[in-house]
Amino acid sequence: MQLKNNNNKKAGKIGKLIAHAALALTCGITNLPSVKAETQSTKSSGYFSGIRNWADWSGEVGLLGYSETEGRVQAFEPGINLNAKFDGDRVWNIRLIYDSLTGASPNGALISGQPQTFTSPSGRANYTTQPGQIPLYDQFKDSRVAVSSSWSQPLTRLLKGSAGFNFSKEYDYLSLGFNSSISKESEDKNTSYSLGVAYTNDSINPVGGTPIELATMVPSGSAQPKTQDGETKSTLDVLLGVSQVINRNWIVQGNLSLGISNGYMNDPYKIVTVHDDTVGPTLGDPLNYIYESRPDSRFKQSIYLASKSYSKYGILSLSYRFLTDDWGLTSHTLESNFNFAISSNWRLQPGLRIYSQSAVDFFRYSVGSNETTPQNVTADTRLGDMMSITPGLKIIKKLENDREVSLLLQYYMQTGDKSPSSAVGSQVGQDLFPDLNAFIVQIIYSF
Amino acid sequence: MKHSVINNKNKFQKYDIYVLILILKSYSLKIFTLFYFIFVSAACSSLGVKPWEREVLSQKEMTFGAYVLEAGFEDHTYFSKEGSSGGRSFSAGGCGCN
Repeated sequence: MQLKNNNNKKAGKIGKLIAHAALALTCGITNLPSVKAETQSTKSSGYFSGIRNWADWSGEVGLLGYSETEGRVQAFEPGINLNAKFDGDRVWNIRLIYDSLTGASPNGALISGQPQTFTSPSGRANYTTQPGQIPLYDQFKDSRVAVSSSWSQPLTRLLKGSAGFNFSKEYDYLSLGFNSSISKESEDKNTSYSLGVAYTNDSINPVGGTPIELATMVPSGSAQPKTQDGETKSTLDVLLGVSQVINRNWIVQGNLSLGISNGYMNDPYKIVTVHDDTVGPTLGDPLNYIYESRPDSRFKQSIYLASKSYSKYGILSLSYRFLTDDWGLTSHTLESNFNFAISSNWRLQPGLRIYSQSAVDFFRYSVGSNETTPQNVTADTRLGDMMSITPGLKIIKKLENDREVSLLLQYYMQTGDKSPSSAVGSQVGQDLFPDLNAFIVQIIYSF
Repeated sequence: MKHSVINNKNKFQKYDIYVLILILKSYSLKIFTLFYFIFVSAACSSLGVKPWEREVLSQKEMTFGAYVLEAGFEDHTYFSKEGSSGGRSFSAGGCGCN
């Protein structure tokens, strides 16, 4: 136990409060006799200083603000990440996140030249979208609390292990997960290998019940095609990683991730337009809507490569991710930023993220009324052909004792095929893939 | 890579064997392994630094995964808006936002 180790990382006033809460939680969830003994022994010198001296504290307190244009989804997400470092390189980590979402979310139906009436998720009300407008459910509201914690420690001189759990709860969703990883450094500590496994079990209880897949949406007041059974989903992820020091100014990393999910994958609030495909003046007009249906399993694999290099001008970070899955989705993600000093205490970090993905095999803008309904179908544009670009700028103020505060400003722009070749009749000329633009702000204080 | 979709829900144990098969069949694994060995064998003799040469590498900005909260916020945002997740670490998730 490091009673006197201040090590240039003293928690600030906020850190003390967080540490207080974290200690209370720790004493409840762990059984560490040495920790309890230490806490008691430091009571005489003040409770806060006892907590502060209990371990070598470091961490971050931050806030994410996310605001989509045109009054769509708004998110407000404060979070805390804390590390308590003990003798022998043992580290306890805890992260708390609160997430509040409001605004209007697309329901999956296509824009139409006709007014469109939908049933709310609860089945108790109808709402109407005007011609030419994006069909949005504007009563969207949710909040989420997430807690994750882990313990890591050396197992041998070069081997390190960690184990942790995560918990996340929102009104209609509960997620519980466990993870463990092991990493090994080479003798010269220039190469590090890691292997991690994570298992997550989710329980889903949609508002108003679980829609029957491919069932037609009916007006409020009628018997809804929904069941009151909850659904579950299990996910197993395996991650293999390698990092390598190239020289004193350059380090690289490579990860291979494999993930398999099984269970309920649908978004219960997403529907698919059924359009009139009879040749005539009403060709392409929406007739009704069906609830989406996705496969019950998904296997994803990805390769992630990253590099950080230092020059006298600053630090260049680059990363690339290739991801593919058995739903037919393939994506490429390129991220870059350049971190440089503008004075002794201020740094700037312009960055750019470029993302592109191909649609899953069962993505359809809409289905025809005379065609056989596919077994799996979604009109969720998040699974369609699209790309996004996120430019950003991070401003960093370095403070004493390795502390810093940063402001990150980003603008997210997502675009897809607005006039697909599948459009027929009245669909032609409509914006069938509306752009999504969002301002993202992050303020983070780290100590 | 394609494999057949199995429609039995909530029978995770069935997938234990499939996971092993898929890992062995995974072309990502093959590419990753190939990349790694090419990289290491090509530059093996000149890689790495001595302990006293780590001044730059020890900076926070030069450390992978140093900004946990920022990475978590970003992963959650993109997980909610796109069809891909994970890679840098375990897949983001544990929420009903996708």
